[in-house]
Amino acid sequence: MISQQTIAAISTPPGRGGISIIRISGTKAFDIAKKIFLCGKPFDKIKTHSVTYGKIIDQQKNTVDQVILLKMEKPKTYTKEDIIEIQCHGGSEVTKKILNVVFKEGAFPAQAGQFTKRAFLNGRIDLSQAEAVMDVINAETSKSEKAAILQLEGQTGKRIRKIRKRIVDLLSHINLSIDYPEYEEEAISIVKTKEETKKIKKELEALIANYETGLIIREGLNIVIYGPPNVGKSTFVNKIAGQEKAIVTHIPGTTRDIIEVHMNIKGYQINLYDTAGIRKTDDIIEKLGIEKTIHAIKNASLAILILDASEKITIQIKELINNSQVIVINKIDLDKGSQIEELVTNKKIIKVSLINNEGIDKIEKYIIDYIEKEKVDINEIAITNQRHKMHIDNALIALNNVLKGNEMFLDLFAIDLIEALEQLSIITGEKASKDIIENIFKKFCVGK
Amino acid sequence: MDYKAGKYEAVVIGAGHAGYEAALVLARLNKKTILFTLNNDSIANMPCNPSIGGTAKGHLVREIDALGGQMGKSADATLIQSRMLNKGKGPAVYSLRAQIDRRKYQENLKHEIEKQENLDLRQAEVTEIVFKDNKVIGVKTNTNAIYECQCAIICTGTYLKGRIIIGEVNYEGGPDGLFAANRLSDNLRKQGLEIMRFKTGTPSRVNKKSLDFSKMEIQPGDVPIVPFSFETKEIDIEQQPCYLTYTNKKTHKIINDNLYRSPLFSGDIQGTGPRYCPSIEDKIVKFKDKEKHQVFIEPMGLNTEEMYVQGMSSSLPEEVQDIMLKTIKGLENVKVMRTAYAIEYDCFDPLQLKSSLEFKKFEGLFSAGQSNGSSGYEEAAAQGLIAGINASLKIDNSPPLILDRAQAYIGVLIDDLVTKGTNEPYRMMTSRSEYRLLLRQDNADKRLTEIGYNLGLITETRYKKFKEKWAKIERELERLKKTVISPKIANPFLEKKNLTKVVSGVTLDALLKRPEIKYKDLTNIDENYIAYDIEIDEEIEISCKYEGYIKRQQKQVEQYKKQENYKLSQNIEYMQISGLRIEAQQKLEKIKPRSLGQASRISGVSPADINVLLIYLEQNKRQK
Repeated sequence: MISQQTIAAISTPPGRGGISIIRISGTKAFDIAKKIFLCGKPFDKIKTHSVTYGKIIDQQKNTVDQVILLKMEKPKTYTKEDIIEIQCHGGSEVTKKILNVVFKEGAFPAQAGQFTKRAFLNGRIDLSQAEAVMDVINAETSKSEKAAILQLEGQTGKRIRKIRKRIVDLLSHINLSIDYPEYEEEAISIVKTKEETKKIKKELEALIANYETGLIIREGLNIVIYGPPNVGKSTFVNKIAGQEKAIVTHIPGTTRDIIEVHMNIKGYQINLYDTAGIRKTDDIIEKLGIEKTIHAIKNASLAILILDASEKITIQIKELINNSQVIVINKIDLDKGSQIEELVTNKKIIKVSLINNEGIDKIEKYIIDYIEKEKVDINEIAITNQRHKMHIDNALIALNNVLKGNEMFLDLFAIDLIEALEQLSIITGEKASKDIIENIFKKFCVGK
Repeated sequence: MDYKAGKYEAVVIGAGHAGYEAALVLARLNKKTILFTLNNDSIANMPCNPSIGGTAKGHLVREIDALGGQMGKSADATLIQSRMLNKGKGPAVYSLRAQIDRRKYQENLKHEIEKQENLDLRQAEVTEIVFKDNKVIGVKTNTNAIYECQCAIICTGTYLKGRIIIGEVNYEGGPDGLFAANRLSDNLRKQGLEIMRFKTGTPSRVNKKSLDFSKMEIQPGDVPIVPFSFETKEIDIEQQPCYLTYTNKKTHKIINDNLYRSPLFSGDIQGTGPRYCPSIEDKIVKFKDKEKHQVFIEPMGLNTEEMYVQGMSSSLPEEVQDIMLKTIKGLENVKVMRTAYAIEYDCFDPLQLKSSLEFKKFEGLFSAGQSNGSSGYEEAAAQGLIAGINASLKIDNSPPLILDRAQAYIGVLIDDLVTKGTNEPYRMMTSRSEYRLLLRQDNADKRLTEIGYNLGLITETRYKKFKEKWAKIERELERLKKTVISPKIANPFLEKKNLTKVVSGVTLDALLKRPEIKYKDLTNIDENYIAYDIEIDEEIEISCKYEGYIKRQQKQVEQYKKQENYKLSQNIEYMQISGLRIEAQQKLEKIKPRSLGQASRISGVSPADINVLLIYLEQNKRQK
């Protein structure tokens, strides 16, 4: 068949769900799975069309998630190619992370309708379905083209185009030096080439530096609620969520569930995570729950510590206070909470009585203020699209090759620069080679 | 009254660089051929610079030679200076360029043509192509002679409706004071071909005795001379120098003051001129900040005092040209022998051609060179050779020879023309190739000799020699990979060169991969070192040092080939494919690409269109 690339994508619909499915199709699907999936037996021993439990690890061997993996050998698959399907925890960043790991091992992002297209081209779907596929592809292409254009019209697009233009300029200069050797004074040196490459690389890095922040804005702010047991964490979540439309999901597969609640406050997407109470314990299951909580706190944009005003302050609570970002003191109907206040310096404290609906507005205000403060950065946020991120990463690899090279010849530098240019051209949808030649004559005075 | 003047298998119209390659190759492939020219004394003329080769163009000449073409051999026989350009910029872009004795080159080619079996040379203007059911059956000349033929190749250069423009003066004419051919393009327009109007130009020729070279920089040739042709053994001549001087503020002022008299700016010239070959007035208008421009003075030959003034192409009035030239250092007392001029001419939109250079609309009619919108002697010769080969294959009922973009610059050149078209005279540049590192001038023989041999254009002796050369290189590369040198031997050598020492045994291959080490250096540590020719040394060095990059490009080529090997039928009705956007439908219908790869290179055809096309094709296949 014409396309031999191995492709991957999240196959479940966008939005929140209990689980997500990542599908990988193509000749390299099994090789990729072999590298990223760990289970009780060697990958090759896994039978086709069977389900295996295990974990996904990234290139640093860190566990990304625990998943169910489906191995399906061709030709009895949807695309008639080797297929791997990974069922992972949905509704969180985890799906994206796994997909990223898959890309890093050599899969390409599937375009809209590409699995179906392959299914058709490889003879899986019959003729009557062909027209439908064509429609889907047409519709999806124009939709995704529109989406891409929308994103590229803003600051981001401008910045990518500016960087791309710099590469075009640099390549034009190199090609000029090669194609017009009689114009020695116009030629570019290797030192200059590397200097300019370094500058381009810096700009490109800045573009993805806040990729993670960009995700927050687009996908919502993750707020983790934590604290000792029975301080009112669940009440907190219920009260906040109760006033707004919220979807409550249980994340399955964890030893002690973290409850994920999605809501919208004043137009902002908020993802609330209610966690296991933190305390000293010997119970293994509970310990695991607490570990999960700590992990969640680390990954949250905002972690809110909830304390009971009436409770005795232990060393453990002191420790929690010291490491906290913001503290909500609950149950002020029982105690004023002044002993906690005394322990806190330089931290925001919000005093509430959740049971009496007292102070909930203050919490909401705090969250909104927090987001709006962050929002200053929105203009700075460049890349949020995973596909774009991948192409920029590839471009950076190519630019690094230019800088690393101790080669002596300009035309070898051009090879990597063209690679970088092509990667960015995929994002902007421009054709690479024509631009360079056009540019030579615009910028330089050469010719007999 | 028309009369029947003869019957040939092939007719070639025009005896410039496209024409002589086409005619010679047809005759060498045993096709009875006649070559028409407006003037027998102007065969193989160089109406612009007296040189062959240069960046990418030198590559083309090597490729022509590997396929059994003529240009490289004749250039070797008549060159008066040779240089390898870009020595400092990388092996892929080393480019051979030679100054040629223009007259000698013409004589050489004329004699070659006259001696050639199966080939007749005839002075006459072809005014009509005779068709029957859109198939070529003959040509008609201005003397009412009809020559029957199966194939005709148009190689008319800048002669079709040529018009010379010098300032306010303009007149009908071809290049170098020759007549234009005024009737053929009208005839073809009537038959339904799309004609474009292009423009190019050339600078003045001046008398050597009126120049002061002491005020210029001298530019000597390289020693030893590297020949273009695989068959040329050695060139031992006394080389002629070129000279370099510059324009200055005075020159620029004169041009600026007289711009209003330039036909380019007054609107008298409608043709599209090449950007890479700008006139001096163009350069001054576009690059106001440049205080000087280079001017090269090149000899036109040994038995003449005429010199070519490269960099001063112009269509300003004659009297302005004269004072403009006199402001240049060393040209203060210049005596002009030929005035610089611009020329407009008719050519065909190359999108009307197949990759074989045959017109889609007319069976048996081919076109090559400037009549296809290209520019340059080498570009023309390359197309002439391919058109000639393909006309011959057609007569034999064999499939055409189509070189792809990963095989040769010739492939890039023709693919660009017939796929993307051009809106200015097209010049070959190394930057037009995606696989520059693979398409080197040093391995042109490796890439194409086999093809030339299979066509019957390469002699047994040469083919054997070629095989031996590459077997030697392969063997040596293999040996370098296998031979391990101990630190005891390697380190003193590395130390002497101020390079990082090794801790364990190292292969010669790994040592040679270091940028600082040359193949020759290995003689110090390699007891089996063999001293080869420079040519082979260089080849070994390039193959070894750039192995990583070469492999990367080869991988890209694999990807490219997959798309190229997906063939598209010429009978697809693109207007009937509903999912395609209208622009894509029209472009595809016009170009009728022969492969999916070619389709994807058409401007205005998007990846989404290609997807739709793929699905349509699959659907069709299954219906059958």
